[in-house]
Amino acid sequence: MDVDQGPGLTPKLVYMWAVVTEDGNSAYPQYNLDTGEETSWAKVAGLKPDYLMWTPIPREISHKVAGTATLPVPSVILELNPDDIPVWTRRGVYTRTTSYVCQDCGAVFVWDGNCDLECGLCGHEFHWSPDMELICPECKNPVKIVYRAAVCPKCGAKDLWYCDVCKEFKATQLHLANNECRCPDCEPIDKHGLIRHKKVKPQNMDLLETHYVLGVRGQFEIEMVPFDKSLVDDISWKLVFMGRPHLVIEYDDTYIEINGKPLTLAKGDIVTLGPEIRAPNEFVIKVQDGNIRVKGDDDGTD
Amino acid sequence: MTATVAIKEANGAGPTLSTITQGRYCTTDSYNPGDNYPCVVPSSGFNYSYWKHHCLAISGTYTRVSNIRWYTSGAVASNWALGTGGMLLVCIRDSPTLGNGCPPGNYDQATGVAGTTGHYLKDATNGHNYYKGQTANPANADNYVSATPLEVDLNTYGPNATANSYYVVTQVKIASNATQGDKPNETFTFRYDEI
Repeated sequence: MDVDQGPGLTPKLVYMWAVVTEDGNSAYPQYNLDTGEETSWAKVAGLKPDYLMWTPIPREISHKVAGTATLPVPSVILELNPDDIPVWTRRGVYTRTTSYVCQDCGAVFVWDGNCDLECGLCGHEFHWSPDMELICPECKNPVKIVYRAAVCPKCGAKDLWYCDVCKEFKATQLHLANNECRCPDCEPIDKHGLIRHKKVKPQNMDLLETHYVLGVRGQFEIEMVPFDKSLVDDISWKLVFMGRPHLVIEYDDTYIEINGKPLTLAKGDIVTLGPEIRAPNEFVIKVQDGNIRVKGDDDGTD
Repeated sequence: MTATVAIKEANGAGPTLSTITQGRYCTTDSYNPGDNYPCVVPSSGFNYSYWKHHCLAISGTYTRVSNIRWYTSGAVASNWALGTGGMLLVCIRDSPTLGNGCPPGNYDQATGVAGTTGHYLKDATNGHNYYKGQTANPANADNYVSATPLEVDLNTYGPNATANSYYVVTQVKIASNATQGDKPNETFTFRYDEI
């Protein structure tokens, strides 16, 4: 039995494919430019294309076809040799990130686990974040985190713990390994659990992106993404198509040639598309008439 | 057109699939038990959450969806401070010809001691029926990142089929020196090809 608590996500397409055959004389776009009718991929899959294109969806189509949008992005054209087997697909990337919602101010935030700690040996209080070692900066002894609580970065709200014997909220609590949380003031006399008042609650944040993939099997694969999220994917290059189109270098010591000039680049380096960029034995990419043209590098030299 | 996708969780005997907007690993068979049934840090050994089934629900007007994969941030065990040997487990198959995921027909409701621990996925008696007989043990989900995603479902769906993919089956394993309290936020990703 299915229970729908939402229709799901449907990405908006900003690119459509087009197949060009017979020395450039026949073109088969995904959407008919007059009617908006979609051509299924199955009808063109058997063709022997000279070019495959990811081309921005024109306004005439986005006005007719739901789920499409017109954006100022360049066409990306893959030039194929007769023996090339193209790699061509859209790639859906559905990301679910857990987050917290503050019940006091409504802020939605992502928490990395940072918290305030007190050294059990010297009593020094300090703020700890996950990129730090769990060592007291004062006495240099290891510190153990007994309990962590998410705190709203906007208003400072966090879960409160109430003792109905003391009739007050407790700033400090006794957290036991079996999930008990007891009143430290009642503990010597009458072990007593605290009542939790939730101020920060978890929820999910979903994001669905469409990436556009092109390449030649056995030679290269380029994944076109709208924004750089610094993902590392060892089977493809990453081309960012929003804003000023550019390649993001994924690995240190990446060797490429720009207009014939050799360069060794580091992870995170940006290469703006425009001049001829060659990834030896993989592809050559350049901008021509405002379009990005890609073809396999068959020169065979490094 | 493109496929409409959602992440659903399966619970109960039916099972019932819910498009979840909230959810957490817990010690009962529920996608969101509120503040109840938290995972428990054991005094020794390991405790487990009840295992979870998550799938990609596909619908709408589309041509073909295929090659469904799943991955994590690669740092779940450390971010969630699950202790020595603690981790997020994900089920894998010895011969994943059609993927490591669990086919809908092989769904197995999570069981355990409510409020304390779920049964381990590979428990010889109470483990997940689709996986407990495998040679391969449930893997550390931190091994599956964007560069090396888990192949969940290698079937092809469409055109225009309303379908649920194979399930990714996961379970939290908690060590005795795990940190209690709220857990830092994490990201899980389904990735699929479509044309």
